[in-house]
Amino acid sequence: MRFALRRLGFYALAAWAALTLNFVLPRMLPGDPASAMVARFQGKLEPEALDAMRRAFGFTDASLVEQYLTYLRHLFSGDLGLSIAYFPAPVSDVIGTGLIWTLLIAGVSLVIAFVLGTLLGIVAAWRRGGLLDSALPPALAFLGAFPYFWLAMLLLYLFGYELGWFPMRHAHAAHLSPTLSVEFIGDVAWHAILPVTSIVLASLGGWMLSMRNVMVAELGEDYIQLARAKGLDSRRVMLRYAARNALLPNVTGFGMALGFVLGGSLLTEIVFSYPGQGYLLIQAVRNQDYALMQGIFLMITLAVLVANFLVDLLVLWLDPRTR
Amino acid sequence: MSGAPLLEVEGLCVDYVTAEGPVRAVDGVTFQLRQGEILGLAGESGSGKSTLIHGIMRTLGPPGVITGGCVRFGGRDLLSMSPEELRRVRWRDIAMVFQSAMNALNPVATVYEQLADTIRAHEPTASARQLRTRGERALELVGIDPARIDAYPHTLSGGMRQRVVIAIALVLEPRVVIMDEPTTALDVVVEKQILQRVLQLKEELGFSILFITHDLPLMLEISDRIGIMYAGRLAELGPAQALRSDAAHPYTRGLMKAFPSTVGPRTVLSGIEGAPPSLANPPPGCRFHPRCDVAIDACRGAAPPLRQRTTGHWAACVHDSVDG
Repeated sequence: MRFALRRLGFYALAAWAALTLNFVLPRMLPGDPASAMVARFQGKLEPEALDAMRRAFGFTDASLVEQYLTYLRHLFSGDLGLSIAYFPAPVSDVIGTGLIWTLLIAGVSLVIAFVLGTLLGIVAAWRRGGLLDSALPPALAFLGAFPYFWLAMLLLYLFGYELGWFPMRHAHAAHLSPTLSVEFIGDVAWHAILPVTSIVLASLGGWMLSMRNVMVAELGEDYIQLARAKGLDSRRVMLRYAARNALLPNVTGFGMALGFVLGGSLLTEIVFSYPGQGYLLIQAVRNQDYALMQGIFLMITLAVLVANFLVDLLVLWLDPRTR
Repeated sequence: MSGAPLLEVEGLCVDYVTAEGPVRAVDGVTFQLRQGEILGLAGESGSGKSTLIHGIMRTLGPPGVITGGCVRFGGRDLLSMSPEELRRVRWRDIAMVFQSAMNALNPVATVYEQLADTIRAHEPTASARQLRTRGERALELVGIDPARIDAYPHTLSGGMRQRVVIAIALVLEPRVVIMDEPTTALDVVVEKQILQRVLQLKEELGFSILFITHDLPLMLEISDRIGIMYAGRLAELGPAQALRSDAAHPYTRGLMKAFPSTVGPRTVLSGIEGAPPSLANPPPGCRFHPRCDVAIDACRGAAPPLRQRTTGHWAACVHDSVDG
């Protein structure tokens, strides 16, 4: 418990540092959103209107400290400013929809890849030198050597374009509106199959190999020999003794991977025109939408921190030595 | 003191399969463990002691393979049993205390879970209440406060972990306990305490012990009979008393001289010249002859068989007496 609180304190500090950096960095960059906006609306807006917009985006002559405090106040009330690319939608709304889709495909593919890879690793280590152990690691390493966006394009071409089994773009069909109906959920799942498969194929090998290798080392430990000798059935030795211990390093890896989920599926989202976080980020960069960029960076940072905290708690629960 | 044979090992051979071909680590070892006795097995590192007992227990991992002989317990051959039959006999009748207490416990399971696992594997119908009572009783036997039963291994000291490992071995009240250097990782004080407790328990519960160590003085102190292993073979086997006063094999005599005596006059310690032979390419004849100071031509020919010297005292040496 004390450990958990200490971790929580650490993450709170890290979150504060991230918020502050997010405030300071854009102000140190050459060029500023205000001039970008002036250029964008040059000759199309009255000077008064432009001035009003500048104020709406928070470009005032107040001191940095004052700006910082305003920034924090707005942040805690959930106000991330207005998006330029999707003007006049608030950034929080824009990110909200993008976040859901990213969490869906990246989260689902991470969990599938982790669970499947870990199980395959357990079986491969248990039947070391068997068919699965000899055939799968090289095959998966081969797949994993391709950039994941390339795999995505290959899948898109084969199963989307040539065979036409799966939709080629977007998260759901245009004529369906987001409801909790079976039809809509089914359509979303159908659209998600190709992007999820491409990420799973690219990352499965890593999970399997690391689990297999740790587990092979664990299987050589004396406590495994004792567990076998004392008459436990092999299923229990495999899962409760060997896999349970081998899992610990992999769970830590899972925590780090969770962090990359939100930013990392960017290229996959572009290949499938998937309206996730990565797609938004590209839009933001193209349109010099500072508020949106800032919001996305903030979201990614906070998500990484939350994910790592959850994994810390998980490790705490899994490994008595950390308590 | 010693009764009928309980565990019989006959001509046991164990090979390690290597890229250069099989290496015979245990070569035709024969002995019997009798009811209620302590039989010690001593020898240098690499002489095949641990391989031998893992062969007996059939806990050899690859690349170890049993290539000959038989191991009988109560008349049944352990080596020809199906895995399920073996699983039932092992631990129920023959339990084992592993070499390294530090690593013999599952780090993510409590002491209770590891004791309960053991009982449940052999008595699937045991109730939770029974599991706990018996687990606590096993801890009490080895001198651990039963209140520690829910502790995780990393919270216990090395000595306590070794006691827990012994408790796991005794929890089903086996008739044979094999101990593979059970106390090498511990300091001498703790070692003495634990061994004394084991000896008491042996009297109370009446099991036999096959004890393995390279600590010869310790072995002479606690064993009824002693077997000396050299390069995968038994060099000598006999009552502890006979080995102490009248060792028949030059290797045994060398070992005796390599340890200081705590009583009697000071003597010069002498080791044994040379190193144990490579098992991949052992010397012909008696494997000890390149290091033996009384070796003769006959030693390079055929391997000398174990010959009985006095009743129950066997040695594999061509010489009849100590002085050749």
